[in-house]
Amino acid sequence: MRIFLALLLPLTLLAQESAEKKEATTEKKEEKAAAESPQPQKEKELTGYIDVGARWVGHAGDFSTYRSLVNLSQGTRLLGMDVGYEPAANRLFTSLRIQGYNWGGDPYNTARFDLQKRGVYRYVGSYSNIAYYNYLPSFADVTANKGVYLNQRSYDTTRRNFDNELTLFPGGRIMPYLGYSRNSDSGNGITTLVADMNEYPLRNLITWGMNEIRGGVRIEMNRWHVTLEEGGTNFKDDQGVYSTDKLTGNRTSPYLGQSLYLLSGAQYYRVRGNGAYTKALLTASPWNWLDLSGSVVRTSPKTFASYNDTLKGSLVSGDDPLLIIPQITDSYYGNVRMPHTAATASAELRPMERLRVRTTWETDRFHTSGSGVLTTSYFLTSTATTGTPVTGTDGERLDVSRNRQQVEALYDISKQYTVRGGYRYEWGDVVLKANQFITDNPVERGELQRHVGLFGFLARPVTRLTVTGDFELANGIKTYYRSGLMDTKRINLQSRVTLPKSMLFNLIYARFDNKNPTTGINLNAVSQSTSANLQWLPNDGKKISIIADYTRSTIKSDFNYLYPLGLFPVQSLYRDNAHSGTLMADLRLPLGKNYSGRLSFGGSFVRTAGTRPSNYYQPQGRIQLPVTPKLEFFSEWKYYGLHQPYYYYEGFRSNMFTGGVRFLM
Amino acid sequence: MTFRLLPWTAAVALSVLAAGASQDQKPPDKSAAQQAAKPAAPAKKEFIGSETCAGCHEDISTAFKKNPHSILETNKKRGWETKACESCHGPGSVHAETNSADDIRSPKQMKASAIDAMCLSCHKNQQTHVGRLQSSHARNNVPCTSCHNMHKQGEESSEYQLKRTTGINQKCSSCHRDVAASFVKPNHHRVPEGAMSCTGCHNPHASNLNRNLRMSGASEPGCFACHADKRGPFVFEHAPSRNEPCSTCHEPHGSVNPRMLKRAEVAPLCLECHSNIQTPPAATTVGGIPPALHDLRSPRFRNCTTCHQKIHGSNVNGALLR
Repeated sequence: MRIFLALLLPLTLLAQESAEKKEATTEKKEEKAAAESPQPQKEKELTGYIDVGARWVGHAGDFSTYRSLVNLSQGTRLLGMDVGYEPAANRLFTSLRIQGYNWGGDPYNTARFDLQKRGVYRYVGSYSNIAYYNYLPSFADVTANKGVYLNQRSYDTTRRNFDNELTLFPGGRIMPYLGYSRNSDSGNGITTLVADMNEYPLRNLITWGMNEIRGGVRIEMNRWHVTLEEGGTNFKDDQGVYSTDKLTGNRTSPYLGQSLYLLSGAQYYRVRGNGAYTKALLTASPWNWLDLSGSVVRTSPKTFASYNDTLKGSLVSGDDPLLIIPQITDSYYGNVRMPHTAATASAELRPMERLRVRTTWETDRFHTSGSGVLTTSYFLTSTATTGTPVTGTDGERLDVSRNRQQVEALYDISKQYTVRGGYRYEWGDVVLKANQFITDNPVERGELQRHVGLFGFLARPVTRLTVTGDFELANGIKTYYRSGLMDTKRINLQSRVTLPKSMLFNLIYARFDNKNPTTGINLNAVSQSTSANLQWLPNDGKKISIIADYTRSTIKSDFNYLYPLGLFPVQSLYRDNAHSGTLMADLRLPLGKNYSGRLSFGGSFVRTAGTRPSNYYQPQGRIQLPVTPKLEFFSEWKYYGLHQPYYYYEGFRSNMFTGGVRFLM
Repeated sequence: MTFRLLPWTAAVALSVLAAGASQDQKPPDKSAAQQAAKPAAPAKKEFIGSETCAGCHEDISTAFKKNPHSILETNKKRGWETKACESCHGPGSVHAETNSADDIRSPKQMKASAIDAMCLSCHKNQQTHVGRLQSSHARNNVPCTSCHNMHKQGEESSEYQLKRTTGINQKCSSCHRDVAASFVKPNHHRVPEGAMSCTGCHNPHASNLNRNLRMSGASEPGCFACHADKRGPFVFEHAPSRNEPCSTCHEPHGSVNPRMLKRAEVAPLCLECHSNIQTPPAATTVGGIPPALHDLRSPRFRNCTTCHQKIHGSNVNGALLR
């Protein structure tokens, strides 16, 4: 019933046409009076809108998937607010803009605050609160064969980002600035407590946060600019897992003739991290034919971690796999440091008017060195008050160096045609702790070496047609990992043509190939997409606008790997063939003289075939009708429908109706 | 080593050539913008000031007062006091006499590199353009005016649109349609919902990272700005998540697979790398031996992260189990 009311409500507003006409007449008179008045018309100080409304949601199918993908709920909301205030005279500020979207219970709340006094200061603050609910039944569904769909790696948390920056004397030559950011997450989820030979899904309490504070100065001169910044981060993670229920775990068969179970279990993490960084950025144009740019960033984060757990039940001793014991406790302390330096330098030379030569050099080097001490106590009987402690130390080393050099020339053949070509060399090495099962060496070393050819063009043969091309062809000599970039080919072609002035047609073709023919790897991955997009906006879209696009994309990956049980080679075949499209039409509804509403409708769809076929539909419609010059009514319908043939139990469909009013400033 | 030196040798050689070729160029003590604005025949074209422009273009002039560029009218830093219009359009004396559009510089008629040169004559030496030369927009001749408009007002102005998440996303997707199509897939970052913007992850002006990725903190990829728990450092690193991009395992824009993974199931994704039974140099890549005890026929072993839950790095366990 409420749904019908929400739909019908806009129609009742048509009855207000006569009132609108009166409003319009009054408005005309005011305009006429203003035109006749010798006083100049005042600029509007307050601009923007506030959308308030209510949403009704109906859904069928799997609610967990709905929440994981859409998660919109019903109720009253502040759907949107974008208010700007520019006072004619104010000592404190010259402009203020406050934006806020989806407040009042929606899973994605955002806010932005922009306050400035031109030339004196500017403060920009932003906040987002994004619900992260991820409980797709098909993911980590260890018990699916029992008919129980429990995602053992699920989350129900909220992730918040808060970012602030205050700049003094913006637009001036010397601009000091100060910033503070916080990224945090809190909530709970399900994770596994992994014991030897069995694992038990438990509730996980999640809370972590990182603070970053930074300050610096930007010096902007006509010929050069320098930014110097000093900052620091502070990280805190306190997670806990606990259970006091008897759990049989994921293991379905007895171990050495005995059932393994957990009577109670608790794990507590306490991770603390901090690090300071120094950043220097430079751009310069010492001569008209030369631009220089460079950056150096030095950081040295550290992490300290402690961990404790207590497990009671029927457990396999990690010290002696033939022993089943009633209790195990662990106590751990570890720390790690990672000095990290990254630097870039680039230059653009313009030896002739038509020629630009660009060269860049980049390096990124870091070294991770971590160690920890773990003390495990094995309690041999359920009555024992002290266990047999076993202490071990472990750690890891990871040294990474990645470098890149590139030179590229861009030549303007004419005003209509530009071509470019260049070469990039990428190299690096990595040293990491070796797998003890396959080598006696404490470390193993990987190398990266690739030669990349770069090509591109821009053609504008006629004013209404632009064609761009971007190509990269790489010959890989060495790569770190089996799935790393080796022999790659990248093609991007785009054409934009304006047929009549109001109609823009856009065609894009993109393809990326990565091949590694090494025996045993035989990687052949191709992803490509073709998109056609039409935008028709006659008279700048004042009466009608139509935007339509269709994309055909394919992902194909053939890859050899070793099947774990038996270590025989098998092939991983992944396919994703997708058709996706979007159509949005926006029509002006001429309801009377100086009185019009807007009707928007359309939606998007994606249909994929291949390894995980999926059909996802999102049609929508919206009607917007003015009530008074300062008030509009809107009503909106959206539908979400997911169907996955292989994971039919994840399908859902949902209708949602939103009705509300827009207050115009 | 030969390959390493080649680009720099070429660059130095070209810079020497360039230095020679540019002997007759104007002295560097004047601003580049003013130099760019100088006409071929300076005797004819002269600066006339914004007030003269406003005589005919009153609507534009009025609207321009709310434009951030209007600061040029009063700010001495750039040297365009009282002639802000001509900072972009060049000297207007001839145009004022003839009223012909051919006698005034119009960015709409200029080639992309010339538009950039004009805008960057003021904006080049700013923080956000560090890394511009590597960025794909600069390399593909995408001019500033593709995203920024100067004279539109209110909701049509880029000043307004580019401060709103939906405005940014619409602007980016008008060219990057193939990327926009990825966001239609069921598992995606919350961009279509307006909770995130393209510029939250990408810096359209410049970046030292591939794909114009934004940096977070000091020099980490921008992903860690929201996923700080994956930032580390960890006592036990999972090396690829440290020295390879997140896109090695994830489709960052959208995917039909849970967690935006590149594979429908987790096990093949992990095993594609963990399939070495030798180490380098005998093996060409690093990565461990497959876990021979794991029987993939059992659903217990099909999702590696059920047990190896700290897949991005652990502070406690070398096998990333806790």
